[in-house]
Amino acid sequence: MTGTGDKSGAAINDRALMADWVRRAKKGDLGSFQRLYDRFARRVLNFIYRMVNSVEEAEDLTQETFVAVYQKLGTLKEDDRFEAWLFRIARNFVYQKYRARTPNTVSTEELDEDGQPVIQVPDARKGPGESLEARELEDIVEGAIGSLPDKYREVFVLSAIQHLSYQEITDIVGRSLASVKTDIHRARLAVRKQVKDYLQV
Amino acid sequence: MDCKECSSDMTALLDGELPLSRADQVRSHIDACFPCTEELAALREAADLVHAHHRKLEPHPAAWNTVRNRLDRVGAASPYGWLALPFTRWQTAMAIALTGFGLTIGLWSYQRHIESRRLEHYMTQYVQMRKAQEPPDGQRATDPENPFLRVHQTTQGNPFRR
Amino acid sequence: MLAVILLSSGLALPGTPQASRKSAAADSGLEKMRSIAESQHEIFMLLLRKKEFSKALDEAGKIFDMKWPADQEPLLRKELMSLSDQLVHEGQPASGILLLERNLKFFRSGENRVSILKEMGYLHKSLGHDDQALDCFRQARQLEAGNEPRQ
Repeated sequence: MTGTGDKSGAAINDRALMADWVRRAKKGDLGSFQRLYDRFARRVLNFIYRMVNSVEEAEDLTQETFVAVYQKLGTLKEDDRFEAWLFRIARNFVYQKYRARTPNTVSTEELDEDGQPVIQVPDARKGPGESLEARELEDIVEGAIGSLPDKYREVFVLSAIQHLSYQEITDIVGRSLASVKTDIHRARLAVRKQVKDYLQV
Repeated sequence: MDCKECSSDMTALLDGELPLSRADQVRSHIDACFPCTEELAALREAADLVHAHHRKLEPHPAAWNTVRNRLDRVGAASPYGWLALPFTRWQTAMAIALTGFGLTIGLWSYQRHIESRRLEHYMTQYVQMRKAQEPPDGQRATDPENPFLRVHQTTQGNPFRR
Repeated sequence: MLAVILLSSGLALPGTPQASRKSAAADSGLEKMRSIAESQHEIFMLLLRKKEFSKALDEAGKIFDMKWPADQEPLLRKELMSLSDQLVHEGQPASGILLLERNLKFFRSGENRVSILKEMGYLHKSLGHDDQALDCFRQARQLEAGNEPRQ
């Protein structure tokens, strides 16, 4: 059995509830669409924020995403796959509007001799062993994430922060499962490398 | 399984994305390999750090109103795209009635058109036959076979004369 | 005794003198009508030559406005069509239409009415009155459909 994350019975019911909202929203029930918005707006915002690195732009794009989603609801064939479909639209929106190239490639300049992404992180580290304010830890984590190449950053965010399944991530980014799995692993290794000085291990 | 193989599957193992049999193999290796045990622990801790300390933005409280207003502007009731809008029962009934009426009118028009064509054909047949019977302009029919001649012969011989 | 009763009731049995008298009376009536019609026909032709078309129409009408037996309708139809034709060839197609129109009512047979209506339609068509022409042919067609023998 392929694991798809910790899918409890509550999660399955949750998905069914979401599908019901989607069905109603398709018929023009704005109340149901608002429930979907309330459920996913934060997640979409945080995903887009990490792609564009600007809160203001992320907020604008999130709104545009949801307007587009409502208009395209009729094209969604499987209501219970709304989540992945939503993120796919958000991702496409970001790359159409703000990127000249797709994130499916990583330039050789961004990879080291082992094929690992080269990260340039602003040096905000403190000495090991010193306690850090939560805010500083946040900066470190965001810095590590923000420095990932687009191709790794998006799958890292979708897996480690949005906790989507690998299959859902392949649906969103349009790459193979093997490619997504490899990219996630590399992204995690790169982030681990950046934050290792702040790990107990 | 070697450490390189094990390492490539560690993230998937942490995410619960490995098939059961593969997961068992990786765990078995980790249990027996200290460097891989440390590697896994480091990956887990990094993931926990990210989970605990990543920035969590919240949508602006008025954001939904902005979205709602935009939906009203672009046509909120268009989740089907170019396809039909969702109808109330009355609108559906009206649409059905109008469609039925339209079909009836269309059928009636078509039938009238067919009838009109048949009538024109009926008329044309007779007109052509009568024209064929007409003598040339300026010439009275004299041929006995000509029905006009028969008419004239009849008038010159009064049909009522015994 | 029976013969006396029957004779006195006026019932004309075939072969009886009374039947013969009735038949003779009918023949005499028809003969009279034919005679009148013959005269009217000549009057019509004369008026036609004198170009008095309106009077010709009136005189022609007297031919048909008699209580002709049903079996005379074919003959009357031929006469009507013939007189109308005369008017057309005198350059009076409108008068021909009028003649047919005025006297159509005296024809009870569907077949004869169809012929007259078709002729009216033809004359209207020749004058460019397409709507009236179609109307005449529509009536003729409806009559024909109604007169079709039942299978």
